[in-house]
Amino acid sequence: MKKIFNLLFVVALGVISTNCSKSFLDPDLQQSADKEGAIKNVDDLGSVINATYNRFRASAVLGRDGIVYGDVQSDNIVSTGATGRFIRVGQFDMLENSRYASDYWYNTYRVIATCNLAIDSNLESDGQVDFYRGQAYALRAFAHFNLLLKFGQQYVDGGSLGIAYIDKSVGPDHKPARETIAENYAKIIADYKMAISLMDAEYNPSNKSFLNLDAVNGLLGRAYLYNKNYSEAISASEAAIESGAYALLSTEDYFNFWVQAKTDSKEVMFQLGFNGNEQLNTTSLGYIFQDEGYGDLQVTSDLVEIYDADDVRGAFIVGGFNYGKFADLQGNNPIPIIRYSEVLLNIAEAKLNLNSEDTDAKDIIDLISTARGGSDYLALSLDNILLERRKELAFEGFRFYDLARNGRDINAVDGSAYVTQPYGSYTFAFPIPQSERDANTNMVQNKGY
Amino acid sequence: MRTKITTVLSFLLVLFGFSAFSQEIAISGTVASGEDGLPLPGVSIIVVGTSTGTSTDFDGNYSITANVGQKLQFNFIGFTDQLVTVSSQPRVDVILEVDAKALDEIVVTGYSSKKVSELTGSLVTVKSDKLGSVPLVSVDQMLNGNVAGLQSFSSSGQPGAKQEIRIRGISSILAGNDPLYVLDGVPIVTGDLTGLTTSSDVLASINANDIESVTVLKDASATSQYGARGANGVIVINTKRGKIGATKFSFSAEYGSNDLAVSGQDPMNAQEMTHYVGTSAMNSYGLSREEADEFIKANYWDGETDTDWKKEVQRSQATQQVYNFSASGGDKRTQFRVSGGYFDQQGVIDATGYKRISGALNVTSQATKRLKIQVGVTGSYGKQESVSQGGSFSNPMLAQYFLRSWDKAYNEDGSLYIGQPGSRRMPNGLFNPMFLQENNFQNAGTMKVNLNAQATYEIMEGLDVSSRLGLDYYGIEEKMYWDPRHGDGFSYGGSVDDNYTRNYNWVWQNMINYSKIIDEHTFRVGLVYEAIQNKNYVMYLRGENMPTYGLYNAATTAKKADLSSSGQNWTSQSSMITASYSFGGKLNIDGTFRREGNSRFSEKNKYGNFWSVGASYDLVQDVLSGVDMFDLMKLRTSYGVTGNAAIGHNKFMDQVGYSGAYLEQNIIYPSNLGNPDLTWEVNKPLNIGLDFAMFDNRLSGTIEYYTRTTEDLLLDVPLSRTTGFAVQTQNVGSMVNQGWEFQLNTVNVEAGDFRWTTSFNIATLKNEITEMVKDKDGEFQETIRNGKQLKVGNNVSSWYQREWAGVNTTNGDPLWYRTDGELTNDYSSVERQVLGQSIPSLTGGMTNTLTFKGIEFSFQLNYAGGYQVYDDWAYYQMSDGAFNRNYNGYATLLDYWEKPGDVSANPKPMWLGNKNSNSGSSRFMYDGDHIRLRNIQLGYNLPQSWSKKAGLSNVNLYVRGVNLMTWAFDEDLKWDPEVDTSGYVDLRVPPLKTLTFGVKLGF
Repeated sequence: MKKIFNLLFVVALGVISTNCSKSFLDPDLQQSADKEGAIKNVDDLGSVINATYNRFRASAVLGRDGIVYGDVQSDNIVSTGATGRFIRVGQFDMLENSRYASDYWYNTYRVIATCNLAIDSNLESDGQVDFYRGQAYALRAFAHFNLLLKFGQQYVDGGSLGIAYIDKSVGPDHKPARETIAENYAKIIADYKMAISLMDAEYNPSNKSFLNLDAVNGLLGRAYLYNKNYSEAISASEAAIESGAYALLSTEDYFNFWVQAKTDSKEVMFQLGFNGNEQLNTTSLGYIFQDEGYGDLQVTSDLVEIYDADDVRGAFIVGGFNYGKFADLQGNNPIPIIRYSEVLLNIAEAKLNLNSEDTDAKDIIDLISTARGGSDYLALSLDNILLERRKELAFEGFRFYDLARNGRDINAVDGSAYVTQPYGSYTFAFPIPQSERDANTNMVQNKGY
Repeated sequence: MRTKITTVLSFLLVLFGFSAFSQEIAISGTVASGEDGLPLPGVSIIVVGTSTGTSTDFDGNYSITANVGQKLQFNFIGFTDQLVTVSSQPRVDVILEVDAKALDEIVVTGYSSKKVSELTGSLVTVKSDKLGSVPLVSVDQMLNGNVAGLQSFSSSGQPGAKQEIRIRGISSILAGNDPLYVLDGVPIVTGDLTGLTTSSDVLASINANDIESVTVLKDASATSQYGARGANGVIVINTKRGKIGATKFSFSAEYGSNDLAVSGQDPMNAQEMTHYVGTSAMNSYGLSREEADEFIKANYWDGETDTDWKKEVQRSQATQQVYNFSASGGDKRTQFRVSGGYFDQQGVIDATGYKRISGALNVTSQATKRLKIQVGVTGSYGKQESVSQGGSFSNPMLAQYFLRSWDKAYNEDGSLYIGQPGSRRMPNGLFNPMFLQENNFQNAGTMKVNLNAQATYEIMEGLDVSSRLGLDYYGIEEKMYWDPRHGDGFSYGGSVDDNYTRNYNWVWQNMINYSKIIDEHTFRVGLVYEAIQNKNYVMYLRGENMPTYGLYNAATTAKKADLSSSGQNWTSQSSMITASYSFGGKLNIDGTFRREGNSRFSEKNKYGNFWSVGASYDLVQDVLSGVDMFDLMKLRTSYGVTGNAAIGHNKFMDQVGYSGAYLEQNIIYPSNLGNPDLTWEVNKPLNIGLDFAMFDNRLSGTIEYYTRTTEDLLLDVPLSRTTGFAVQTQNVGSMVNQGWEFQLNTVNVEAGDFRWTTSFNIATLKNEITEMVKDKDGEFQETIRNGKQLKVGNNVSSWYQREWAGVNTTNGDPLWYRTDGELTNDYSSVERQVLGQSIPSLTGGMTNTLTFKGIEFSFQLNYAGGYQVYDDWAYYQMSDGAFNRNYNGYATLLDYWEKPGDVSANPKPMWLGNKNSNSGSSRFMYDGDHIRLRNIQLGYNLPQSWSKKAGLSNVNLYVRGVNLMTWAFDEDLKWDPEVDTSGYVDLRVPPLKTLTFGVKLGF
């Protein structure tokens, strides 16, 4: 009988252990980790910053779509619909359920969530930690800036709404409302300034596929310019290039820099990097631009005609397609985010707005034009600055904002798939995605959708 | 010995004063089994009314001394007792008949076994004789049509592919719906564990010939014992064991051929294509017939080629071979069974097939008087050869329709045509499927080892304690090779993918069982402790750019394109108590309570409680005691709670992920937004049943009604994307399944040697979604998933489609119904609506068995109805001109509109298609209702007098066919109506029609 009790005791132990044996039922994580305590040291923090680049370069963000929007909604390129991509975007005929709107929105907020993972980490402050956290602030500002440009009402008549600014890690119940454009800009600029205060140039990475302090200043200058704060735009932009590390290349080098997809160049201040194992293949910019790939995006003759015969930038266009910028068909080339020439043009535009006869501004557009094989401009004017920007930054996603920021209509040109969009039209903002509004009742739709 | 007995007997005789005149004689003889004529060792023989007794030796021989007129009682477990009166005859040979009742009495439900009369739950047992008689790869395919309420769907006719089993409907949308499989008391791992695109089932690695019985547990009373894994029903498999007796050997061989069960659509031949495509050109561009013919000859067709691609991709002869061998036997202490098997099935589509070699060993030993040890080992290696499926250009099923009969398959020298040197594509951009079938391959080799060890110690009468350990190991090696010369491999310079999956699962169960019988009262109590750990590990690599063809390993590739490995483990730990009370087998009450912990869930939801209560009452013994015609009239009911934990791992936790890189540097990003409230789906099954038997059990059956309510249904709740996440899985929905089941067994004729029995079952299934995610206004949201509208009030498999209205007889336009009833030819104005469902609402099966002397004839008919299947590839194949010049088309398209007044199935063909006529609508939806002759078999047992001469104990010859006939009620349905629960006809390898001849030898 004693034996029986012994046996019962053993089984009872098993029963009891069901309720107290914690280690056996601990979760098993082999490919992921508990977020709590996951950022243990400075290298982990660096990996989070790498993840923000990784998510920024997704095809739906700046790996393709976010770049294409600025050109396809302008007189630069037309979606021919060869494979049905970018048709409604290019026709200013978007619906609330547009996949482009929802993908761009969602994937950019994914970047922001990654930035916040870095910002919320509580590692002890030191030079490298602060530099990484500074990068996170700058990338968060840049992501919100991109969202504001697409979804904010700054170019829509009577509009004042911006986007939701996410400045910390949030849980599933977070259902933010839209802030005003002014509030958004204040936060964007505050984040950039925080970045600049945290980033010591001593830690600047040598590879431009990682964000350095100069590029942050340049992006801040861009934000000030777009927000029409011209004097600040000038000082931030000048700070960006004062190191003298950047220069315009010779025409031949410039052509090769683009077409041979060199990874580094004095022209570039910050770029998203790719290599053979990480390239986007059929969802890359090269694949959508070239007619050996999808060939959906045809260059308008209106753009082809603005280049002088000797202008190297005109040679990028072959048979009506862009074969020059983002030239690798599989996407094995970096995507420049901010270049030296853009910073110069930002300065020129800001200066012109402060003084319509500013000689520096005239010098800048002449400098760039001649460096590319073109000629000097006859006079300084906003039209000429915008013309030089169009020539210089074609296919890089700037044209729509250049026009809109200056109150211009988006003119239909020969072959355009849209009628002229008058400045202030509701189509100057993307619709807030239906999927967002289904889940978040606080999010107000843009006018017209 | 004999002297001793004689002495004792004499002593007894003296003691009891029996007449000295009684004639005492020595008797001897052999005892054999009536089942197979083999001698039975260990049969006890008693002289009735005395304590004199003996037992048979190993060869079934005995000898005993008794007086004339006394009776000898022969007794052996599992056989009917026999009494023989002693005469002057000294030799008495006895044949004991198997006691069918005794064998049927015990049902093993995994943790415990019970007498049938004590059951309160709903379960169906299928015996080996029924299972073994179907030459299919895996046991899940054999259950089809045998169990009311069990639906079986083949996702692919690819030999070795996974079968979808659904017991009493679908209970979950995001979590799994597969039942739990239990092998000899231990839960095992099943399903498709492959990583490349093959469909494969690890269950196929169990040889059906080693299976004694399969019991399907359907309701709470039976499944709540399995806690969080029992929600979708449990299938308990018991393997064959050795029996006491001389060693028996058996050998069987089967050989036959395979064909398509249903032939499918036919593509148009070259003449038909020319005529059809020409017509579309005439309609669109006003050409004459002559101009159209000329145009086609100038641009597409050489005027001679007429390739029948459908015929080309099939094997001229697909064969099937099965061989099994077993030996079993044992003495009173130790019994064993050892077996080996070989299975080889070729698919009808070239380059598909499944081969399996398997072995099993089972030993049971009564080690001491109180200690019993059982050990079972099964091992197998199965190799599946498969082809690409779905939309891949290298899918031969797709190629047979999408390649054009205009294009040649062979060069003039007889070699395969693979396009021009530069493009290496067929003229319409596809590949030559025969080249790919010949040179590419996609294989999965599955190694499975299962060990099951159990020790039971009887502490005292009625109280025993046992411990059981199950080890379950799978290793799956997959390899996919793309030849560099043609096909998908061309642009990579050839490629190889290797995927290795290892799954290791251990289960440890400790049990105490106590039973006490006091007069009519039987009490049983069981305590169980169970721990499970599952470890899964996957390794994958891909190499591209081969130096030449015919090299299959990544070592020879210039580019190492991919390399990864990952692991996933989970654990669970449970305690359970079961208790039951029976009053003479007439009134039964039982209950189960199980507390289970699982590593998938957060600390606060780590444990779940599952329970059931059940009761049954047999009216025959009281209420109907005077009514002779009833043998059984048992009312049963049960209710309980089970869980479904088949959801993603660790979803409760905020997580960061690491997959990917930025310029070869590590990345860390938020990968999961934790839901600490996440818990198992709760399933609440209610079962009410009536078991009856009448007319000396000639008519017996079961009627049951059930409801299965799923609460805390897991659904993806959309989040504000500003969180960086799109959805979060939450327990927010609910769903109900309900139905009637009817099972009937009859002995129709029993006259002399002739016997005709029928077994029939039919079941209804009704499903309704009762709660969904709520939207901003508090209304239930609806979503569309896989072409089905998930909405409160709908069946979970509701097709959401536009309604086709046929062809306008005046102008040949396509027509649809709008929801307001209006006819229109404007597709964009037509709304979608619920049109039918993809899961059958009615299924059943009927088996008839006729025996006469040594001849046995049986056939099984299966039925499924009340559902629709959808041909999604008709978008191309029945595009009314849009794609037909590029991708051929079904020959049924030839019934098209030509002139006003024509009543035709298909609209007027146009060069660019006719007003979206090929877009999704009920035009391509067909009723799935069908009857299938699942199995038909004719066997003959040679008379023993003949087989004995050959030194064999029995010889059985048979011929049988599987899926020989299929009758689809919808005459437009050319495809196999048995598709998986999604309802799509997806250009899969179709099921097989098999005809085999076999022989079974016993010696």
